[in-house]
Amino acid sequence: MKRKERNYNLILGGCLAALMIAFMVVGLFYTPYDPDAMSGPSKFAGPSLQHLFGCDHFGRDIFSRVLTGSGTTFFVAVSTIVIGGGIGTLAGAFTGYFGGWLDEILMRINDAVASFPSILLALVFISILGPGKYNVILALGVIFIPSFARIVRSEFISNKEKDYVKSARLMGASHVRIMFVHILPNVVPTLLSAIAIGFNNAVLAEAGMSYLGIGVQPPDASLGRMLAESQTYLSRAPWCAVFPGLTVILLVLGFGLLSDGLQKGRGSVSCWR
Amino acid sequence: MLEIKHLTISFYDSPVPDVVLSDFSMTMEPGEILGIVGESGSGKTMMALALMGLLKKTARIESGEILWMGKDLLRASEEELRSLRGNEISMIFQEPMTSLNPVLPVGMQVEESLKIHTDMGKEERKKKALEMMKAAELPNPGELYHKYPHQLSGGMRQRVMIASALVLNPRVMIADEPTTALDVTIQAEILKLLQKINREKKTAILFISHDLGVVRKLCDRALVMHQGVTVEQGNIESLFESPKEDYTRKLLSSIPTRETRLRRRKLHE
Repeated sequence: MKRKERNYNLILGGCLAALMIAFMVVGLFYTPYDPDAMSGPSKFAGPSLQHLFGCDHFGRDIFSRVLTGSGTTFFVAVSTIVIGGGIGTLAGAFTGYFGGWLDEILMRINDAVASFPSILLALVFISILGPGKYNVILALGVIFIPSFARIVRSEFISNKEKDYVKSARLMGASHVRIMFVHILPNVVPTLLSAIAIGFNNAVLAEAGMSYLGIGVQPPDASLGRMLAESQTYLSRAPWCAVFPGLTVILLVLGFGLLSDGLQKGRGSVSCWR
Repeated sequence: MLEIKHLTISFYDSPVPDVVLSDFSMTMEPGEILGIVGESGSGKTMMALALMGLLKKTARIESGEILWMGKDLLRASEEELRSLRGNEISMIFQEPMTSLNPVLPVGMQVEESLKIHTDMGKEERKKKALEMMKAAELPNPGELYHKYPHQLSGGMRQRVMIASALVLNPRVMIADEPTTALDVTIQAEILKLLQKINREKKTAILFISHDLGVVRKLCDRALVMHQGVTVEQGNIESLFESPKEDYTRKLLSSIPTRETRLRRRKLHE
């Protein structure tokens, strides 16, 4: 089981993701300026020591806004994963383990949800519920259920036939215990990489929805909104768009690499399975 | 203690039902070691799984009864069966490589039955598990307790399986080809361990094997099966010394002896 090759994706992705998470966590507690405070004189001020990322068309400090904006994005993405991943894992566990008609019904519903383009489905949700942070979370959460359910279901199907499940049953373990104490830990590596990918998709979806104006509403800062607002001044004050955009890119890149690295790392897990 | 009467099981995966066990009867007394011998596909394992109530969905029990302490297990509820499994009757099987959960520490898996069937505290469970691992002759139980199955050898894993099967001191342990996947020296050690457990804890052992030599060494009584039918049963001595049925005789003649080995060597030269 010697692995000379180092998992650079995992290391790099982990560092980048950790950095971005640290960035967002800081944004929750501290920003150099009030992210919503406008100031006439510093309108369109370029990046300087006072305003690291410059200022936007209202003279608001972009660095502070990126900090809080990515905090919002992070909150939305994590909540989405908790809802989608949680319900998806439960649904996948039950359908995969028991099979039968429950499996058929839930998976057909799953297919129906998954067959809509996600942005369209999100638009439908938002037009029913109205825009706003919590509605975005709800919409994205529901959209994310099918992918998690399918991954977990296939893992449960392949695991439930294994001997260790049989020996757990021989010890008198109940079905629920077998599902969550015995099988679920075996699914965790796959689930982790799915969570990292899902997190990425959630970040992009939130940024996309806010860009379209149906996501996070002003005055809340959001990376997508900042991009939308700054495109009018792109040639005059490019820093308004560059820094929020860069943040999204680094965030997605970090978690993308992390997920890739986790998937590669699974090789060492599966060789003793 | 355990009595199986006229048990017939068929499989319904194909259009024509497949009879895997027909009119099978046996009895088992407390503390004895009963061997079930037969080639693969003779229905040995199906009998054991029927006993545990864990047959596949496609299998159907056509007739017969399984009496445990006078109670018919085929009519027992899932709940009742579950309280029996691991507690009164436990089972270990062939592949120690795959029958342990790869991502849970060994100690936790030995404790599993205690967690399910008793309300012992954490410390108490650990103490009991370590005791059991020691009884299964595992070296360094304290250290092994936190290790994962892939860090253990095949023989050690089978010992862990035995420890986890015996932790609640069941009346019967079904051992389904427990030594087949192990090499010969380890095999002998595991057999000795089973004998010791039988002697010291009075656990009855239902030993399923295709290896006649092993059965002869270990068992008090044996039962020969062929294609789902009991061919012959009886005391181990009489079965080996004076087999009554033709099939038993054929099976016995398949055991390699010094002569057969010489004969084979000659053939190769």
